Amino acid sequence: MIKEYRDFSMGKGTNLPDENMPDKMLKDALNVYWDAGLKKRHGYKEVYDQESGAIVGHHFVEMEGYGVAIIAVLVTTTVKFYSNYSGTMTEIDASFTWTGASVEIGFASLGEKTVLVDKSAGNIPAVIYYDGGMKICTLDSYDVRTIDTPFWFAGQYDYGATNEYIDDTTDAQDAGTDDYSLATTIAKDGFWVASASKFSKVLLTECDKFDGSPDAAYTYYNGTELTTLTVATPAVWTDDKGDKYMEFAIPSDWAVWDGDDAVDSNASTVTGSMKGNYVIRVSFTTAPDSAMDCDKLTVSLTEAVTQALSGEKPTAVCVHNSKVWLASGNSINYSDYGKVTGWQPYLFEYFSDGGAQINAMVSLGDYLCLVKDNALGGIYGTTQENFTVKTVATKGTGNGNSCAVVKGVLFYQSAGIIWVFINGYLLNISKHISDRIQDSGYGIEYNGYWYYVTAGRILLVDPDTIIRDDLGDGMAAFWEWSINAATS
Amino acid sequence: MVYGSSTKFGDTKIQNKLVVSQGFKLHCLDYGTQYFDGTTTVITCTVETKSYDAGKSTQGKIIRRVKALINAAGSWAFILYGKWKATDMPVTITSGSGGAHYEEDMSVPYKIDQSSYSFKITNATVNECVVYGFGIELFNRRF
Repeated sequence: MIKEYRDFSMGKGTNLPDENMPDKMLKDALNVYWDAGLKKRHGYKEVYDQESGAIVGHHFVEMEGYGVAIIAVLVTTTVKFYSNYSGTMTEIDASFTWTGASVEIGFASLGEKTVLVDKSAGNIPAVIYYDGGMKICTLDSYDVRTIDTPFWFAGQYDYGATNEYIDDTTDAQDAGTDDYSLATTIAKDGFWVASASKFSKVLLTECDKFDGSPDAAYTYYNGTELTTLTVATPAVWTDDKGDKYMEFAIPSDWAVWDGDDAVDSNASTVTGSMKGNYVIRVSFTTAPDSAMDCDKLTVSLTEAVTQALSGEKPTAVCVHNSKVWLASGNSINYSDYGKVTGWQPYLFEYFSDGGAQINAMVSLGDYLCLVKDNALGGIYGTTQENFTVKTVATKGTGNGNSCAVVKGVLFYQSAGIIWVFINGYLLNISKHISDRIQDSGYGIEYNGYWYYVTAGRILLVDPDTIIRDDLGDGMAAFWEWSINAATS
Repeated sequence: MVYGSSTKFGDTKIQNKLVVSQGFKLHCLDYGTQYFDGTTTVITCTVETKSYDAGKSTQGKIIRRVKALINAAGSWAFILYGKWKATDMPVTITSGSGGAHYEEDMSVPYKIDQSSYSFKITNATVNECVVYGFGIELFNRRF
C-alpha cells in the first residue's frame, strides 16, 4: 500500500491530538505558508533606524503621487513626527509635538490627508497634509471657522459712561484705516466682542503699537458675572504696528450675555448687539499713553473640533464612507463627506453597549463597526438623516489594535482567542492553536491574510480557509512565522 | 507595532509590503525575494506532520520506503517517526538537482516499523524552500 500526503492547507494545530487532527493539518510548522505547497516565507530586513527613541506609530499614505512613510517617535515624554517625503526621514515641524509617556498613535487617511489620534487620550487630534511641503497641525487649527460678519458685533468699553458698551460694529468690520478704537488714555477703557457662536480668536488688523505700559484685563461672561478669561496667546500690545491676535481656550461655562445691549453714538440701544451673544471684554487697567486703534477685527473659532467633541480627546479614528470618524468614550463624531473638516456638535452617534469605551473602529462592508470590550456595534447609513446604530455581536475585545478586516472578515484577538465576525456570525477559530496566541498583538491586513504580530511570533490566517466545526465554533489555517529576536 | 503598506524608502522590494515598528526601527517582514534577514542570517523553516495510521491506529505496519517531494534547495534534515514519535529515523538530504521538484528516496530500517508514522523536515539554509509532500510504502502486519 502506498500513501501520499500532499495537502497541508489547514496550517498547524498544536492543540489537537493526532487522532482528531485533519490530515491536511500539521502538527508543527514554522516560517512556511501554503501556496500549492508548503513554501518558506520571505526574509525580513531593517528598512529604517531612528537610532533613538521609540517608534509609537507609523503609517503610509499616498501623497502627491508618492508613497510616504510617517512615523511618530517618543523621546522620554515628547512625541515628534517625521516623514520621508523628501527621500530621507525628516521631522515635519519641530514646533509641533505631542506629550505623554504612553502615547500610541492611531492613523487614518482620507485622500492625501491623514488624521492622527492619541490612543492614550493625552493629546487632541492632528492632521498631516501636503501644502508646498509636509505640514502638521492640530485638527482644530486645520478646521478654523471664520465667523461671518452678520453674526458678530464689537465696540468700545467706556468705563465711565452711563452706557458702558458702545456699539462700533461697522468700524470693526470694515477696512477703514485706524477707525476701530481699542483703548483710550483712561484706565479700564477698552473694547468688547460679541458673537452668536463661540469663538476663540480675534485678529486685529494693523493694530497700533501701544505706548506706555498698558496692562489688559480679559474677561468673559459666565452667566452670572464677567470673570477672568485665560488668554493663552494674548496680543503683544507694545509690538510694532501690524496684525496682532489674541487666542484663548473656550471656557466651559461661557454663557450668552443676558444683560443690556450696547448703544450707538446717540445712546440708542443696538438690539441684538450683545444680548444673546457670547461676549468677551478687554479692559486696559493701565491705559496706554495715547489712544490706540486698529483697522478691523476678524473673529474666528479655532477649536471647532474640540467643541464638537465636547472637549473629549478621541482615542480611535477610522475612515468610512468617505468621512473621518473619531471615537471618544461611547461617542462617535464624524466629518463632512470627503473632508477632514466640518465637525459639528450635532454630528455624532452614540453606542452604549459592551463597555465604557470604543476600542477600535473598522469599515466593514456597508457599515462602520464599533469594537468595544464586550460588544460589536454597527453604524448603518450614509448621512446624518439615516444613520442607525445597533449591536451586531455580544463579544468584543479590549485589544483594539488587533482588529483588521481581510476579505470582508473582521478578525480580532481577545483573551487568548482569535475571533472572526463573518456574515453576521461570530466564530472562535483558534481552539486548535490557542497555546500560540499571545495578548497585546497588532492585527494587520496584508496580502489577503490577517497577520497577528506579537512580541514573540507572527501568526497568519487565510480567511478563505475558515470553516465551521460540529460544535458551532470555527477553524482556520494558521501559520506561524518567527519574529526577528534580535530586534523584537 | 504598527503597519504600513506602501513606502518611499527608495527600495522597490518594500513597495506594498508588511512593515512593522520594533523599538526604534522599522522592519519589513516579507522582504523581496530573499529568504534570510538583512545580514544573511538563516531563517529556519520546519514542517512536522501529525502521526498517520493509514486508517487503523492499532494495526502494525511494515514500512518499506519513504519519499520526500521537495524543491532543490539542499540541506534538508528529514526525520521519519514511528509510533507517535517513540522511534525515529533521521536522514540528511544534502542536495537536490534538476527541476523545481526533487524526489528523495529513503530506505527504512526495520526498527521504525510501527502502527503509526509521521514526518518532520527542516531547512536551515538561505535558499527558497518548498515541500510538496511525502509518500510512504507500507504493509500491514498481522494484527
